Amino acid sequence: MLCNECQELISEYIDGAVELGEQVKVERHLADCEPCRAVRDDLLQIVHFSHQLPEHAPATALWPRIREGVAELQPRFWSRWWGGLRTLNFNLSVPQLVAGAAALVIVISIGIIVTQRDSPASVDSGVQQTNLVPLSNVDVQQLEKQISKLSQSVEERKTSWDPELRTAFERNLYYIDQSLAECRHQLKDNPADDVSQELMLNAYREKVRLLEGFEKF
Amino acid sequence: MVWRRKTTKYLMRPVISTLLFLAVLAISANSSARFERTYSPRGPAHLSISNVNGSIHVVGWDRRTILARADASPSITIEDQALGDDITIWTRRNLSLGHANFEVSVPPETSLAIKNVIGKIELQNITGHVSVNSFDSDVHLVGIDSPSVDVRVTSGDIFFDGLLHEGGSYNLQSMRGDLDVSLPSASPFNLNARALSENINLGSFLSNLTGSSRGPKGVSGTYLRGGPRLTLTAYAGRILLHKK
Amino acid sequence: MASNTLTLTMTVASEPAQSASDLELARAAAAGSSAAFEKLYEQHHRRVYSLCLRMLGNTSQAEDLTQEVFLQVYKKIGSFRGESAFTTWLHRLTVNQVLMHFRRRGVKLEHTSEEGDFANVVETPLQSTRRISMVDRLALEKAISQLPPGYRTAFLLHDVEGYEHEEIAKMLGVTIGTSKSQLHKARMRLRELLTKKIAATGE
Repeated sequence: MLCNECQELISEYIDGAVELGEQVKVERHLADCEPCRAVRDDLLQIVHFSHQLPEHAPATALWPRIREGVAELQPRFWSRWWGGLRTLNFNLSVPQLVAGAAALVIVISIGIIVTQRDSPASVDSGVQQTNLVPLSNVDVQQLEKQISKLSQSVEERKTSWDPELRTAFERNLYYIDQSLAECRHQLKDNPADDVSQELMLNAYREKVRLLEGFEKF
Repeated sequence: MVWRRKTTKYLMRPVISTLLFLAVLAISANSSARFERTYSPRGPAHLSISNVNGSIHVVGWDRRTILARADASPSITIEDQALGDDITIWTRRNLSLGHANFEVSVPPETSLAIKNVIGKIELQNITGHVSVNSFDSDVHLVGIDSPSVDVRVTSGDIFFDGLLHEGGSYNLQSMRGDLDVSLPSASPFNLNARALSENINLGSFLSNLTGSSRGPKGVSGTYLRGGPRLTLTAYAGRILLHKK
Repeated sequence: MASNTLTLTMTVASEPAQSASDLELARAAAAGSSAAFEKLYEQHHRRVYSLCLRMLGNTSQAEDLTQEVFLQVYKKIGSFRGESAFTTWLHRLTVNQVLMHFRRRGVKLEHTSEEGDFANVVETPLQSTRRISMVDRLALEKAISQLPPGYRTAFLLHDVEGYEHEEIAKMLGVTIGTSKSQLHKARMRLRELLTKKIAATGE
């Protein structure tokens, strides 16, 4: 065995991953070749010390950033409680328990006060209620009309498209429709969510862009 | 016997010719057409590339000319028009989708308007205005030092590594894919980030973001003294900001 | 004296016990315990950060990626069932994030030739008998950071993090042969860098 052949196999040899026949050849060569033994010994050292590399620590400011990020991802208060209530599994610290009890007392008190009223007070016209529709219906209707027209045109042409093009269109249309469905779902939970409204309007426009883009094919 | 040899000899020629003809046909059906043009704009040029399927790679270089090359399948025709400093390159296709992969070198101050349907788009070392409009594309913008960047894709990741100009406008949007932005730590901007389903991770930019309004789906605020408008919109994807 | 006191005990979750296993912490975190999640962070963030730092070679990016990893942990911890060790699960998540980070930046891991020193990796056999008399861990860290991304990734994943070539090949989308070749070249390159360093410092 020549040195270049031996050194090509040296990594696998020190990892114990060469076949028996090759292993014998390598060992025979190493017995007579100091340079190759030097390579073997050095690589063994490198591998050995690679298992002992120290751990590094990030800046202490990293945890607060993660904590904030996690706080934004946490499900809404009511859905977490609902989840806990369904499984009768709560994980509360003492302060949380006290706060929860206080909140319960307040809610019950308000409930009592409200039910003691003769009739629901007429809503102060200055206060917006949950039946507001901040996203202009006109905007959505116009976009839906445009989308319907474009969709029809695209459907007529689609059958003559290359299959890859058709797949790309359907896939991207699906992504947009998924996003629209998600926006509608979030607005159903909270109709005043202006971010979801903005995103929904944008998603409609994106659907128009897609249909216009593919209409020419 | 002689009769048989003669017959065989006469048959071989047309058979071989037919086979050769079919081989040439097969080779030509799979071969690519090559497009290569050089343009010499007088001043800062405006280059539009309109493709359907294939990659588009544009890189700023230190020459004053624009060199556009493309490999395209036979079903694709590449056409161009140069009117002064306005250069337009587009592809025409028959019913077959085909593909055309573009490699273009431009003076850095060239403004770019890139349109595609399917295929990766990479822009490097550009200082002119950038507009990318595609559907199914990962977009990489590296070494961008432009006064405006507008990128819209339906599906694909968008990666931006560049500088923002005072008064500039930078808009990245993907319906499905991550937006990954790398900026210098001293780069001021006004941020409007919206992510419908995934998280917005501003990294260490967060600590100096003032006047911010934050919610699970959106973050707006001013970083340092503000100035350039950075609008990031993601639906099924994350928004990630990194300091360079 | 017998006590007639009726003791009503209400168990309220307090800070997880010091010896709580990762699986218990993960379950608690999945159930919404921020204390358990913080404990998981405390126990594992150094290893995550170290891997990110060695792969990326940049502290700021490593911190950003570590943050991203733990946000993903938070989102996905409900899917951790304990079939593997938590460290294995976390580790895989970290490696995926790093590889995604590379992919987005167009860092090609399967091609390793670069300009300058790395352009011509010496394939001819090394004939010198000089050895690295002592590998300094700091010198090794520095040498690792000088490897091209492809070599560095292969070395870190195999020698430092302990993945097998089959797993590495799958993660990187290369063949097992390529993974082995990358590793070998990484080790040889490290040897070269460490030998030069020793020659330079006269050790």
